Amino acid sequence: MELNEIFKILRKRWIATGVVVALAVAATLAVRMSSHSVPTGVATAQILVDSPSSELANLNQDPTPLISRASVFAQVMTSNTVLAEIGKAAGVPADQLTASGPFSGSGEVLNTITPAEARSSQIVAEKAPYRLTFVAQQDEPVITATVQGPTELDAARVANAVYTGTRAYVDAAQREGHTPSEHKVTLRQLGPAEAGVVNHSSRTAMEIAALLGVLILGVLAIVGFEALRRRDRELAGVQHDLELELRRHSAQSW
Amino acid sequence: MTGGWRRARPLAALVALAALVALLVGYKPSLSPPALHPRGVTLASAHAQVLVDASESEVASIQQVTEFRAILAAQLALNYALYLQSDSATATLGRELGLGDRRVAASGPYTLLLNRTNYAPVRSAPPQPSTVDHSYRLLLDVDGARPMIDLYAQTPSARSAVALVDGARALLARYVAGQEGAHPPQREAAVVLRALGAPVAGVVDPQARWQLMLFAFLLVLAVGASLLWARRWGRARAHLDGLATGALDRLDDPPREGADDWPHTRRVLPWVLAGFVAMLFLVPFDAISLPVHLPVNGTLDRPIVVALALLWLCSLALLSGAARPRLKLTPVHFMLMAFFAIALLSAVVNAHALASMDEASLVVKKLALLLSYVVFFFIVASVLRPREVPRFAALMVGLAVVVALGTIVEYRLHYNPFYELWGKILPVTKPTGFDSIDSIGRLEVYGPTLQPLELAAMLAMMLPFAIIGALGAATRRRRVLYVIAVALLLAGGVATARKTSLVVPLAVVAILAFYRPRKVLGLVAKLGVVLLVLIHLASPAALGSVISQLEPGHVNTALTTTDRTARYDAVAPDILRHPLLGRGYESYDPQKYRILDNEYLGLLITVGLVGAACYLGIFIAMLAAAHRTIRGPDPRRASLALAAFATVAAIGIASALFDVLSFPHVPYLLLFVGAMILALREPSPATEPARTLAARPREGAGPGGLDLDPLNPLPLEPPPVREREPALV
Repeated sequence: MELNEIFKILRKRWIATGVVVALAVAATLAVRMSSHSVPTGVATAQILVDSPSSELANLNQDPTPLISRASVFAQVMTSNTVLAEIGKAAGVPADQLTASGPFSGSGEVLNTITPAEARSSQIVAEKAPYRLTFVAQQDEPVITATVQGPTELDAARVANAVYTGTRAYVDAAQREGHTPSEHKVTLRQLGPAEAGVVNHSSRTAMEIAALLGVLILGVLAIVGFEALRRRDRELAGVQHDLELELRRHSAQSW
Repeated sequence: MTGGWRRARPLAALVALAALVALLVGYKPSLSPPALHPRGVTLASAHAQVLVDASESEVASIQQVTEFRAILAAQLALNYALYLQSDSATATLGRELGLGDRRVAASGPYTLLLNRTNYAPVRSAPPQPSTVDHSYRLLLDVDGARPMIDLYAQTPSARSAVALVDGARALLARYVAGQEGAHPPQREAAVVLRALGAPVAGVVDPQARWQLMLFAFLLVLAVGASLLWARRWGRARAHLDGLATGALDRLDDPPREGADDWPHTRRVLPWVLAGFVAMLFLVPFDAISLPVHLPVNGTLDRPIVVALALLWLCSLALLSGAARPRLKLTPVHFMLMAFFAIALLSAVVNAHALASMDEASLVVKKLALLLSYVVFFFIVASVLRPREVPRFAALMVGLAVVVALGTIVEYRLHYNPFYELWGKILPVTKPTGFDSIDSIGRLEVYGPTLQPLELAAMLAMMLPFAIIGALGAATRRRRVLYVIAVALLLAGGVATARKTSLVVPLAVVAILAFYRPRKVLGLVAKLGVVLLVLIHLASPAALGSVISQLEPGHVNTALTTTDRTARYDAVAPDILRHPLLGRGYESYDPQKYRILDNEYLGLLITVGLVGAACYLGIFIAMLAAAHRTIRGPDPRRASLALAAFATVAAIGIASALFDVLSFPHVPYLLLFVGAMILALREPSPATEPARTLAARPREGAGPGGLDLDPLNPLPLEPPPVREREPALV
């Protein structure tokens, strides 16, 4: 089918074409209107795992145990208990938060070759609007928390709450274990969270994708249906001629 | 009324059948008592964590952690994870979940299992004391460095998943308490298990059943309607097809004067296409990022496709007559566009999740690549002429032989001419693993591609054209050249040491033998030994290495095979999450999740059943188009169509062996071959000279028209027959 034939069909089936165009525009608008829920905010905060007499201010203190502890902390922070505390501090329901980690450096080892059971949990967590990632540094007792949220402000609020929430959990554990004050693990937030905007261009791309996707499928449906009808008519004519021929042959043979 | 009912009856029966199949996909019937039971497609999951700690918590007190103690706690975590997989623990958990004498399936830790050996001896397992219910699965994970156990459950409902995780934690606590009771440690040395919050649980695939039922209904309806349609019009279609193929000019007939076919043409587009094909074979274009800022991805092919598209649009707008590209929508175009549309929609419906997972930009990039494939196909299918097909086929075989030679050089001398030579002119990024040995001892041979599998597939794609060339060669010299080409293509393929390099060529030979059994099997019988010797001389030991991977003892145990089969279970949650439209085209990043090495699996995850069906539809449309030409009266067209058929089928098979769409060499070549198939179904254009639109003739004028200009008639006499030997046959 040539290009001009396609245009002729679309002109002939102008109601269907109009419906397809309207659907495509509606899909685009729907994507635009729902795009406010697309997470575009990201924020990072850093937490130092320290001792009461600050490792940074004490030449006699070996940082190795603190680095090791930071790694454990990064994993504990992904647990539901700490997430609930973070959610409480940020004013966000705990079921809207999900966390992954700890990751050290570039190797996301925990995310590779994931078996079905673990992957199921990751998939269930995909719905959560706030995604938290904790990375423990290799050579410093510092945990970097990255938060992705619906907006820049939301992400920053939750990132700032990471320190408060984790602190609350640690305080509870220290109270429960009657830890002497000189032995208490001390968390320090290294400045307020830094926030920014991501995924902004993906909104426009998704709007274009919606428009094109619906338009192409609709046009294919119209053209395919018309082509099938034409082919049907053509084949019916040929079949009719063939049957006539057959009858003529059988009449002659009689 | 009766006639209408008679016509509607098969359709009604088809709808009833489709509804029945859909029902059976979603539900399992039982006779006593008569009932429908939902099939176990629902997956639920739960996740919880346990910290292996001391009474004075490690997270609370700086006194607790010494390096020795941390390692010990991590080791204990591993021990606990292994304990929870024991027969006794899994049986207890089964009883607590109400499974009677069935145990839950437990496995892990997977994070510690990354360094595996390739071949594991298979030993017979002792008889199991009780059966394992694989719908109830518990996974325990520890990383060996931190004192944390992750417990994951996968069961048919969220409630049972939570119960399983909670049960496992309680069982572990009882076990540890029991051990401590039997051998009381000092207070500060006693292990304390801290449950870190309630399990997070949910249903993975809440809509799976209905989506699967809908797809089954539509599939049965579509297939049934096609069969009914084919049955109704079978004779008429055969008659029309016969007329259409019979009316085509024979490619062996001499061309008309001024035929203007490539390479004897002044049309620019065929020359640009030839250049593009040369780039596909000779340039590692996917590893070349141009140092300029472009709105599209900066790899070399993208700007060239954009330039090609602009040139094509100019040709459409400015030229008329035979020189103008002929854009015709065929079933192949239809399926390709449908696939593109589904890919777009799969991204749109998952926009939120993709943005949340930071995968939206990846999807947009991959959609741009898919668009460039579609545009490329439209251009080639509208530009190629039937008489140009054998010449392009010969060009591709020649270029593939150059690639094979380069591959052999790389295999023997550890020097990749494609990367090294182009690296002197353009910024080429060598792939990781360049000139190294992989985990099972194979040398990584890349040629001009980014993946040895891609290289093996690319060479296998050209094999049918070389074989057909050898079968139909008019002279002994040409036949010898084609046989050498076959040997080099095979030698280059096995130099990659991939199983694909042997599996796909075998499939190619089987397909060719299906259509031309006597000729193909005769060639194999006559030249088999010669080919083996040539392959061995060109790539010593490579063939043996590939064959050893395919031996019965190895093929099922090699990591490359077991990893592939392990993926079927591992990706089930991803497939069932969005069965119809998937999670977004190419959003399943192999670096982030897992390498699938299977395009069909990847498509099921990313564009769902509908997208995978469209992808298969592209192959079916190409094969159906080629099949009709193979059965046509022109032997030249039939031979070329057969070679193209085998190439397309080879990529259909290769799609089950690696992720074809991720590596652009193969899709571009596949679409080029698909366009060749379509060109072979067309008559050669009349020899009307190229004109710009300013000089466009009146309606009805020109070839096929009635009012030819009497002063300047088109030549009616055929030109003298040329003595030159045809290019391919």
